Amino acid sequence: MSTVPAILEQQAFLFADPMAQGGFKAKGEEYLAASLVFEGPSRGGALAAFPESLARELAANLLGADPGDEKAAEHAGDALGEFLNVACGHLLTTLFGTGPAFNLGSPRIFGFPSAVADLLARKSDVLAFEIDGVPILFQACFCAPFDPEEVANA
Amino acid sequence: MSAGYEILMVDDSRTVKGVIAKCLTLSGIAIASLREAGNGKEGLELARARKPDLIFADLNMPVMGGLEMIAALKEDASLRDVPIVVISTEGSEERIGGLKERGIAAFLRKPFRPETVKALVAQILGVQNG
Repeated sequence: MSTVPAILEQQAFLFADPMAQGGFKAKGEEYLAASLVFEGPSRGGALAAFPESLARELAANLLGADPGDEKAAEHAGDALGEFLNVACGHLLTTLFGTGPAFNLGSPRIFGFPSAVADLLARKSDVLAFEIDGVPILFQACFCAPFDPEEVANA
Repeated sequence: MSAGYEILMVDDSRTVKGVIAKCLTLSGIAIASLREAGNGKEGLELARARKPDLIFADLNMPVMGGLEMIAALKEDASLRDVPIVVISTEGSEERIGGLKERGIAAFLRKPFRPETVKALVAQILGVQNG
């Protein structure tokens, strides 16, 4: 899926490479995630999950700030949600063209432990990428996206 | 000589407002004030309190969305000539065309580069590039 690396590069100067199926292994850090639902000719959802430090770097790059800056930490969730919004919008255009109109919901921001990221990476509709060796996840599906409360209640 | 332009950013994302602010700083265009609103209702209130030279507007916002805000601005005789740049991930040609029929000055699809914002703002405000 070339949309995710393209948007990361254009938006935040982050260079993502796809990981082989089964190659994802979280490195122990807590993950920050954004998810949203969309509706239009088709309905579904999308999710992006980054280790927290990389989410801060994403925010820093977007804002032209230092990753260690308090501003980057404050904006990390919003920045991840914004990346997801842009990536999902472009993905839908790639899949459906410029004819159909979709409505994207507001991103929901939440976190989960790295062990949950390892489980999520096994789902067939989840793609893994790495940015400078740091693994991230992206899910786009014509279904409801991953909900951590479902895992907690399972 | 203008002391600078009054810009109003209307978006519920702090990140997007931060990115626009960064782009405007990099542009070198004289900015007298850069005000922020988190939804269309706040945007209208700020615009009515002091008329901006340019408005950046998102579409999908809580309380009042961008379309409703744009319609209200165009109905207000004192504000209908304020140029509005819509910033969105919208990809539907029909919707983008509809926005232009509503009288927006430009549509900027995310992600965008600082140079694009600079050129667009300069063109809309009639700023001479130095």
